[in-house]
Amino acid sequence: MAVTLGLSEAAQAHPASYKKVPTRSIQVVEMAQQPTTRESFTAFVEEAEPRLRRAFVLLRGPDDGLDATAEALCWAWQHWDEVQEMANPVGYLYRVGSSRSRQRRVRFPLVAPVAPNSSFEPGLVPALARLSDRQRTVVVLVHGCGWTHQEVADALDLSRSSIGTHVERAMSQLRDDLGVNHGN
Amino acid sequence: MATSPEEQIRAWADSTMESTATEPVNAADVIDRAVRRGRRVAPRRPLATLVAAASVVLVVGVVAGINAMADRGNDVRVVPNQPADGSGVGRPEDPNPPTSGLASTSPVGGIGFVVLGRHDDTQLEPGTLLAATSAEEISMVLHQSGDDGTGGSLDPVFDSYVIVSITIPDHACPPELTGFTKDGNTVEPVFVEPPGLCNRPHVPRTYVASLDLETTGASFVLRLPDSWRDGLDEQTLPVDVAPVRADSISFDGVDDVAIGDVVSARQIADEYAPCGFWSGDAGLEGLAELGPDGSWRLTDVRTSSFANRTPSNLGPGSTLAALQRVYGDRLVVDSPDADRTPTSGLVASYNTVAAVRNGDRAITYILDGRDIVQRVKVSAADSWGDDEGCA
Repeated sequence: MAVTLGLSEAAQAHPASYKKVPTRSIQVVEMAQQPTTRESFTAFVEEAEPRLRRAFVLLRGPDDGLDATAEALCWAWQHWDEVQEMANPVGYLYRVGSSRSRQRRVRFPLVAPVAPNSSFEPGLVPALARLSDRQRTVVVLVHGCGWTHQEVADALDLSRSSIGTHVERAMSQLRDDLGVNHGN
Repeated sequence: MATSPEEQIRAWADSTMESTATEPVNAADVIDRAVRRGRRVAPRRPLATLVAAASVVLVVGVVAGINAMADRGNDVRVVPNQPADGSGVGRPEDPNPPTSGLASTSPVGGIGFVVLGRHDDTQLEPGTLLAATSAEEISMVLHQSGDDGTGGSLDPVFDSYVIVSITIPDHACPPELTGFTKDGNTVEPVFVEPPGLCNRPHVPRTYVASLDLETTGASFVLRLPDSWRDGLDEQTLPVDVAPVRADSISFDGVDDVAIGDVVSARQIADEYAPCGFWSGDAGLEGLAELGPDGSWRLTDVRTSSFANRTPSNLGPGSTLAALQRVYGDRLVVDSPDADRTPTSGLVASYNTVAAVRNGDRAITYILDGRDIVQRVKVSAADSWGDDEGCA
């Protein structure tokens, strides 16, 4: 059985130097002219992951939230060509992550703040919990995560106007629950 | 104190994220997670050993021979291009290396082969051995190999050849994959270094090739010998081409696994009671539900193996046209749009799906972008589609 792969002449002449060359750095140098699939995906993850993780952790808790984030990004990697073409990939990936991690029924809130926080009323979290799942998801994404109505619409597969309606009704209920005057 | 409820929600969100202090999910972990989704992942070697060594990754896609299937008339048949000279040798300097026909034999060892490509943009880590037994897995393997272009040119019904991917952390100029040898039931790749001085060290590369199943045999061991450098142990991968099990897909289940069967809790992964993912033998998967008696019962069974077929010879690798020919108007097809517009209650979340009901049961065919069946799911009628269910 002849397997004839061996060291090149250069490698045979300088074996020590070859072993010291960091593989990755050389690879990057050789591929520097055009981002590789892995590099472009990594750049995407750096941008999208914090937004997805924040949304999932707030709505599903740290364990399921991280799992949903990983599932969504895993899907993105497996469908990278498609994801690159998407206008709002984070919104679609939110849907993917939600679908792939919805085996466990969740109860809000999943995370209680460590200590009383003067930045919000003690009654806020119970008030959020009393909202419907859809309303809570919308207001958390809009006001807790800073997503635009269009982004939330894409994520939940709803119309933009529907998101506006959900936000309006949810905030109205929250104001009532918190004893905040409407319009203030 | 923040005044408006909007500001309070933001403050609560910030506080929650701060208190959970979750570690970011990084791209490497994601890619690793995707790789581990592949079946038959062999134990990995210590990375330090591998980096120091001339490690090699072999990925083999094997698909059952289904030549005897009668219902093949409309199946897509596209085979790799044959070279004008029939050399059967991929030249590394050529970004589009020439290929031999499947029926040809290599000049070295009597194994028919086609070099499909060589890729520097590999996603595979050194030391991983995978064997894919479905089109779905092969697509993933090719993608991981940096070979997104080959899938479209391959015969989607891999009934006559084996896909092999070999990744070499190479210390020199890319060697030439000149063929494969066979000794007994052991098949080995043959690489030849190009002549001359090379100054391009440490560039991992993946070679993708197909092997003629007729020349390898249905059962063989793919081997990479230890004659590489730096003491790398030999790596082997047993390859067994499963025989076709005609009539193994029915409205009751797949092969000898039926909906409602009690399965071992040891076979349940990602356990989210009362729902769990089941992973059985022969690549069968499904969902199971935990009953009040503490037993797990299957709610659906899924297969992506070409070996499993319906009585009409439908299964992974079949085309949508073939499904329509067999089922006619009974077949319901839905496009992937989450649950926005289910057709007759059929939900296509991620892929185009075609499904047929029979009483309270259904068979769902999950298609790829070329309308070729990737997976088959047998379930209750109200659970048809590619929704992951178990909500």
